[in-house]
Amino acid sequence: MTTAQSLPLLSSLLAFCALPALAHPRDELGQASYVGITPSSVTIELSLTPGEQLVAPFAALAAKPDYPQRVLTDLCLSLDGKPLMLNLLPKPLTTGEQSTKLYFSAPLVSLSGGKHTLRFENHHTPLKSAYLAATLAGTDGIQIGQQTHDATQQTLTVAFQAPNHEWNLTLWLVGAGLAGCLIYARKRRR
Amino acid sequence: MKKAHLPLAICLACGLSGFAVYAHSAQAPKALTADATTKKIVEAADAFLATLSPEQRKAVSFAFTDTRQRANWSNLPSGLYRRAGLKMGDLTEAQQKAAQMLLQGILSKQGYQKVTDIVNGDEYLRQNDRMGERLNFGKAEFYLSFLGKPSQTSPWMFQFGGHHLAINATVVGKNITLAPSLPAAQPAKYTLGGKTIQPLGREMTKGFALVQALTPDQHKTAVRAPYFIDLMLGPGQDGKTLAPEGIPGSQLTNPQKKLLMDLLGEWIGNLNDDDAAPKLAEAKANLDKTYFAWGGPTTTGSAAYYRITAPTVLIEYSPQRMGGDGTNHTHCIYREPSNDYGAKLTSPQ
Repeated sequence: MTTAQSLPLLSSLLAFCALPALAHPRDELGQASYVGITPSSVTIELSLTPGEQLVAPFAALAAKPDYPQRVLTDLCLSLDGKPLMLNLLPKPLTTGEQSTKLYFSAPLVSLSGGKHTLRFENHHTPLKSAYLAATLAGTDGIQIGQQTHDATQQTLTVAFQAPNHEWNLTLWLVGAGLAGCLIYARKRRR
Repeated sequence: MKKAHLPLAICLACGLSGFAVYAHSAQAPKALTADATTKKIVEAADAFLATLSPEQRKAVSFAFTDTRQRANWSNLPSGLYRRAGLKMGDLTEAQQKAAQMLLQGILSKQGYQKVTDIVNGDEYLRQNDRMGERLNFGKAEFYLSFLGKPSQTSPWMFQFGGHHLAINATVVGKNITLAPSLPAAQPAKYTLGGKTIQPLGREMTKGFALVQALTPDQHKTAVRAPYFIDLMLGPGQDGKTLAPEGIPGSQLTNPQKKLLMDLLGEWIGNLNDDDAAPKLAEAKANLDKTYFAWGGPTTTGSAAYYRITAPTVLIEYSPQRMGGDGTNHTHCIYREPSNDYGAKLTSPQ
C-alpha cells in the first residue's frame, strides 16, 4: 500500500478514536470477518468493535500508522491448501459509531471450475478478543457449501463450487461454429 | 429520400420512439399508492407530529436520504451510544401516547406487546442494576425519529429505539418493512405487577421446539457448533447477505416444516397483519429454500443460538455472555436480504 493510499485509512482511524464506540462484552475486542468469494477474488471485511473497557486501548492501537498492515500480517488465507496473497484494500476505512472496518482482497488468477476449499484464519489478538466469521452468499456462479469453524471462530473453512468457464467457452465456440455453417450454407444456396 | 429507404426510416423512427418511451418509463419514479393500513399509519404519524413544537419537529425530522441517521441504531444504552431525534422522556404524556399510537399502527398486537415488554424490561434494569444510573437505562431513554415526511405516496421511515431495541419501519406506498430491526432483552425474564414477562420467550421456545423435533441425522446438519455465537448481522452490518448454513427446509418433514413456519411467523408477525400477510406467503413459498442453523445445547433452557436464512428473511437469535448467564440476556436481528430500509421497494426497477 502506498502512503497516499494509507492516508484516508489513517485519517479515518484517527476520526474513529474520538468516537465513543462501545459494545458487548465490555472487556473484549469483537472481531467479525465476512468472507466474500467471486470467481476472480476473495474479499475479507474485518469489523472491529471494542468493548467499553477497551475503547481507549484500541484507539491508541488503531492510531498507529502501521496498524492496518499489522492486521494484514495476522490474517491467513489459502485455497485448496495453497496460500493466497491478501492485500489491504485502499477502500476508505468505515468508521461508524460502533465498529471500525478494514477491507482485504486476494486475487484468484485462474480459478478452475468445480469444488474448492477456502481456509481463512484470523490470528489478530492485540487485545483480548472474541471472534466471528461467516461467508457471504456466493456471486457470479459461486455456490457456497459447508462452512466449518474452530472452537474460537478464528478459523473458517469453506467448501465451494466454482462455475465451469471452460465448458461455457466450449459451448460458445460450438454455437459460433454452427452459426457460421448456417450462414455459409445459405450463401451457397443463393 | 429514395422510396427504398422509406421503410427503413420508419422502422428506425419507431425503434427510437419505443426506446425513448422505455427509457422514460424506466427512469420515472414509480407512482406509489397507499392502502387503508398505510393511510391509518400516516394519519397516526401526522397526529404525533401535530403535538410537537416547531423545535421538536425539527429535532425529530431527517431527510429520507440521510444514510447516517438511517443506520444510527444500536443495542447499546444511551449512556454508551449517541442517538438522534426526540427522547421519550422529554415528551409530554399526550405526545408519548401519540407516539405509541403510531407504533401500534405499524406493528401487530404481539409486536407492540414485545416492544412494550422490552421497554419495561429496561426500566426494570434501571431500577435493579447498579449500572443503570451511569449507562442511562430506563423507559425515558428511547428515541424516535422520522426520515422523510410521512406520506401515502413517497417513501419515509420511522425509527424507535434505545437499549436493546431498534425498530426501523420503512413505508413505501402500501408496503412496509421492519428490516432491519433489533429486538433484545435483559433480563430475559422479569416480574411486573405479579406477572412473569419474557419479551422474546416465544422466539426461544419455538426455536427449541424445532431443533428438538429433528432426527439425530438432521441434528448433524442443523447443529453447527456446541456453543452459541454473537450476531453476525447486528448493528452496522447493513447490506450483507450471508450464505445459508444448517438444514434446508427441503430436508424437513411436514410436521417439522410446520414448526419452522411457526417460528418464522413469530418473527414476521411483529409487523401489522396486513403487511405481514404477503411476507408470510413469501416465506411459506420459500420454505424448502429456508435454512435453519443452531449453535449450542439443544436442551430446553440452555443458552443457544439459531439463525434462519431464507430468500426473503434473515433472523438471528443470540444469547449474550455479558452478565454471566446467556439465558438472561438475548440479542436478535430481523433482516430481509437486499431489503434493508426498504431498498428493494425504493430502488428503480
